Amino acid sequence: MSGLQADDPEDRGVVPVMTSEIPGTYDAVREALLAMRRKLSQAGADRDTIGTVEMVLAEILNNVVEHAYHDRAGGHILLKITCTENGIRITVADDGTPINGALPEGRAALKDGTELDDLPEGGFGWSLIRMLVNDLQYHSGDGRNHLRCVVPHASVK
Amino acid sequence: MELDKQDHGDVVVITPSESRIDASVAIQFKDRMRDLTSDANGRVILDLGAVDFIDSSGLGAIVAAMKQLGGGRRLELSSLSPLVAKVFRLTRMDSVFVIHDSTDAGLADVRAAS
Repeated sequence: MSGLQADDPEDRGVVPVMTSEIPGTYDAVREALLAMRRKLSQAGADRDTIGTVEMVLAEILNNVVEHAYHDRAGGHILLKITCTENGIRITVADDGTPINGALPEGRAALKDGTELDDLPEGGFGWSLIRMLVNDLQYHSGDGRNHLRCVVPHASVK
Repeated sequence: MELDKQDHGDVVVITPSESRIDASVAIQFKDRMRDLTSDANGRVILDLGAVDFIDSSGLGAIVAAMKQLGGGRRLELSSLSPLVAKVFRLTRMDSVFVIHDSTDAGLADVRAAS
């Protein structure tokens, strides 16, 4: 699996934080998140921003494991994190099943008075991502899916 | 997934010793919670003091743990770290659970007992 494009013109003037290729499993996602915490901390990011990046990245990567690779081991995920003046940019690529049409909106916020038995046990991933990022983009082509977004520096969003 | 269980009178306090409830352990967590709460008839407090991260799978597992209590009982949560609290707040699940600052505060909260 070849790497993410290294010469993206938008990456000029930004600080690389982490580039990694990980297996498409939940355990590998967890390890990658812990590595991300260390790298972002070393890069000087504040704790709130790191926490938000962790929430967003967890949902993005878990989605790839579940929906692109259908919970089957063997797939790989490319992950790149850079620090820009607008925030922390996350770029993720995989070779699994593409998302058809628009990106999901995710589950709407819980309505007041929802009965206990009717409480949702999932579906919050995309809504969390959308609440926490700017500039969410996705495209798929030549068998590879690319997703990118920016987590603004803390207290901006 | 290590979960510690302690009885405080008729209140059961369950404390995960792991720092993450995520997609890797969500199903395990839900199953362990069922084992530990199947014979509990009173209040159940889940002390999340050691947990510094949950993802949406972990959140779903905590919701499932409440639903499997049965009888319309609300699972009570205590000692949420800022990041864990944020996940509950953004999904508005904080309106569904009884949330205490600490387990001691939860045990002292007689309103939750009614």
